Amino acid sequence: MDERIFPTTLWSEVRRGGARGSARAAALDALVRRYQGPAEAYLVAALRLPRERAHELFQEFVAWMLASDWLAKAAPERGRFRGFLKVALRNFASDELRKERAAKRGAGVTGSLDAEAAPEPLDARTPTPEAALDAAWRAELVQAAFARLEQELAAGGRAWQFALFRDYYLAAGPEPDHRTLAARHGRSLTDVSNGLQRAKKAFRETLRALVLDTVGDPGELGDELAWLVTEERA
Amino acid sequence: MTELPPEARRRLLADARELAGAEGELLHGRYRLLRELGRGGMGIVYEAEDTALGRRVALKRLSFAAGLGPGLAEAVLREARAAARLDHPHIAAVYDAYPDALVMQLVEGGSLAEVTDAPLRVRVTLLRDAARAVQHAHEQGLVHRDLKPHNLLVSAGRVFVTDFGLAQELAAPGSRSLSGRVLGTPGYMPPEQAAGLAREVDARSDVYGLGATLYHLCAGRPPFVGADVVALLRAVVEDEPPPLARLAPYVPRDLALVVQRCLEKDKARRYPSAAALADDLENWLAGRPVVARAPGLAYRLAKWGRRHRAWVAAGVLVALVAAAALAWNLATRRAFGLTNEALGLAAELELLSENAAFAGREEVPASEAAALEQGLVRCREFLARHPDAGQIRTALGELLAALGRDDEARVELERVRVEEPGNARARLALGLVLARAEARQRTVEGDTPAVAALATRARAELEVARTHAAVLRTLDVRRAEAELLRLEGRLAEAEARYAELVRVAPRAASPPALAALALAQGDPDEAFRQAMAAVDFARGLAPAYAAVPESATPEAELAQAVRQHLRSADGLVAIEGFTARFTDWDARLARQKSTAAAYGQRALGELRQAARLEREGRSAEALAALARAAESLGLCLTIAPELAEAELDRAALEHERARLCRTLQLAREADSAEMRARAACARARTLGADPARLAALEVP
Repeated sequence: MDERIFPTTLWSEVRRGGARGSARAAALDALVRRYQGPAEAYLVAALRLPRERAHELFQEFVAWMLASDWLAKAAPERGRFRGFLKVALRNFASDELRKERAAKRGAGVTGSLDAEAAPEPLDARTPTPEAALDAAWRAELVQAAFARLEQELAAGGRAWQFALFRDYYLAAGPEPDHRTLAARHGRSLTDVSNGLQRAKKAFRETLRALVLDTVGDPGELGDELAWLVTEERA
Repeated sequence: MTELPPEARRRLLADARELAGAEGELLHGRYRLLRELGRGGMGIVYEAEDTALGRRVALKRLSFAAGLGPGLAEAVLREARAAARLDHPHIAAVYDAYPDALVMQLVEGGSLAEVTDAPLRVRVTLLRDAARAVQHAHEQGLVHRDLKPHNLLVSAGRVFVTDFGLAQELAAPGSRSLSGRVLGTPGYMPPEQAAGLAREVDARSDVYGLGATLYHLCAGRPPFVGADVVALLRAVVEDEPPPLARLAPYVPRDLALVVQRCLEKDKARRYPSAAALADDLENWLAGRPVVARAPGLAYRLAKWGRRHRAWVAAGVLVALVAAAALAWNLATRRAFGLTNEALGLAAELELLSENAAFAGREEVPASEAAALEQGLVRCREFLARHPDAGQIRTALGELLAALGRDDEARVELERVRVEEPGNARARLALGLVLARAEARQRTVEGDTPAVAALATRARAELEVARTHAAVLRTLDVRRAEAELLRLEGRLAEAEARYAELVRVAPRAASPPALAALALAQGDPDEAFRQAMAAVDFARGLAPAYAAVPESATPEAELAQAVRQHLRSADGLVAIEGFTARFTDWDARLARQKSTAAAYGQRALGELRQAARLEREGRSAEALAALARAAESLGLCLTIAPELAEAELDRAALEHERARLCRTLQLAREADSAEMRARAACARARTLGADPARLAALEVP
């Protein structure tokens, strides 16, 4: 456990605001890039773009956000980073739509001003941009925690625990039982049981640490973890 | 890297679900979660079934527990168990406490927030009962820290205080972690808590919370509202809530006075205990006169002065002076040959002191307070490792002094004095702390023997400092003496002393101090010249800034600009540009503002004089002093007609004049003062003055 009970997170660093502009921008930049995938998923859903175009647009989004000092304007929305990012993306996307329509009008296509912000209606199966972001976000978190766990266990000389963990979760069909794993990895049953338990615990901690970076305080951490877990089960 | 299949992801997340709570779950082998009742910053509250006893309970799952270290989790448990020992008919019982959950009596009903349309007497009775319950907890050593309508549940006409001890443990003494953080609900939070000054929080903070709740019960909203938390916290610390007379005119004056007394910014002016509040509510219910009184004239003047200083200090020039003073002190400090770590720490403390001094002790914003707390923690850790680091202890003393924590500052500085009698800086700082204490006490008590003794001690410290001083330090001493004279308002003598300094060692006569002196003497041109000299000087100091850590958040924008420029690689070029820009069009503004500020300061001096005369019963002379203050403010507003704050000050001042006129039976003069007050309010309104303050002044 960190010596400070609630260590400074990237997001709280960003949220702290005040005068340290460059450090804040750097923290925001780092965070946004970490969740590039979910952000792009949002853009794909909101603007009906191909992946590649979303990828390019993401860079523009980052530049737009930093240049417009969006954070300062978004004061009431300051909450968890995920929520903040959604609001920022929503604004950015509607800017984009406006620009696009203006371009179309300029090209002689008639457009009604009343139809402004709303894109074409979606059918029920198409996810909303928000839902697309959430789903990608959850996947991103689990994926990142998994990758980090591998690194951390390897660095701590416990690569075998990760190997157990990976086999346990990545097996097709039902989870393999401890006996199978013991035979496959040449370990005792006790080793398998303990190793798996430790790796699971480490995974939870890693996941928690990643989520922590996107919230500003402990209360929000609990809520964000609750969201992460409950939605997936629902 | 293996791309995880969705099924593996789902499994991983399902196995991680103990990270969060959910319905249906069996907690601690005994409590089955039934449904979510609500959630807040502290966690989620469930209705749960105690399967052992077969009864319904409220279970609060503490979501922040996941973020706590073992030590703090233990503290949570300890405090929760203390809360579990509370046995009072108006406190929701705590049945059981776990590190991550609290099991409480299930109160079926609504919160106090939902009874705002019950008859006033009923609401007041409920609050009286809550106050008695809170008193009971205080007697057991528990402070609630988050009293608000939503934490006061009402069931069958009975009030229950809930969530006892929940906020408390997070800032329990010894848990240094969150002590600087702001916990609680801003709209109902006492200013000491909003400022993040955890150690200032005590039973009287709960008196504030009860008062804020009563305010809500009367007005249908908390004393302070706003969407932006930072602005809200600032308002809690600095502003007066809108008077109940305006929001809820039906509330009798005596009850409004009770609320007002609870909501005093200064703890010492609130009811001393929740019981005292309950008693006064009892008085009101019984139709007896209440103890709470409208605050006296001297107090109102003092409060006025505090606000007044705030905008005087906001003058651009003052910010520049502060930044320059920092550069100056750092350069001097380097000459003492501190180690790098110590130098870094000293520089950080310096920055913090500067910010604290600049912000003024009543107005440290929450973010600043947190940075300060961290600085203090680091400093104390360093001192634990190097108990004999007198320079750092001295810097700590100076920081504490800048925070207005003079008593703590004195402890540190006295210790240095004993251990290093030759540490001239400590003796100097001690001398100044004592001098400040003297100046403060003199305003309150006048020339008493105790004040005289303090003055003697202050002088003695400075004398000793002089005896022990090396060459550089001698200059420091002289500078401090000049500073002291300035503090005492002996401006001519201060000026003479500074002139002498300039003669002896031109570079030692700190331009920032000269600027401050000039400002105090009402000579903004000279102040500006000196501040510029200070900036010029600071240009040579870029290396000293390398030691300034990133962690301190400077208060004044301008000071920040100077510091940033100095810190950056091309700082010298940047500062040049900055200075040029500043001397150009900004200068006009700055000079104009600082002149206005000078008149503002003069008004403040005259006002203090008025307060003193009034205290001494010399009402006629006090009235004359008030007239002079009004004149100074008028000049100030002629120069800077856009200063809404000054207009508000003028309104406040005219109210005081009217009051004084009435005591002197000058009815006609009183009426015209009131008219001027109204006119000032009208102008302030067009200038976009703070509505809350405006409302307070518009009430007849």
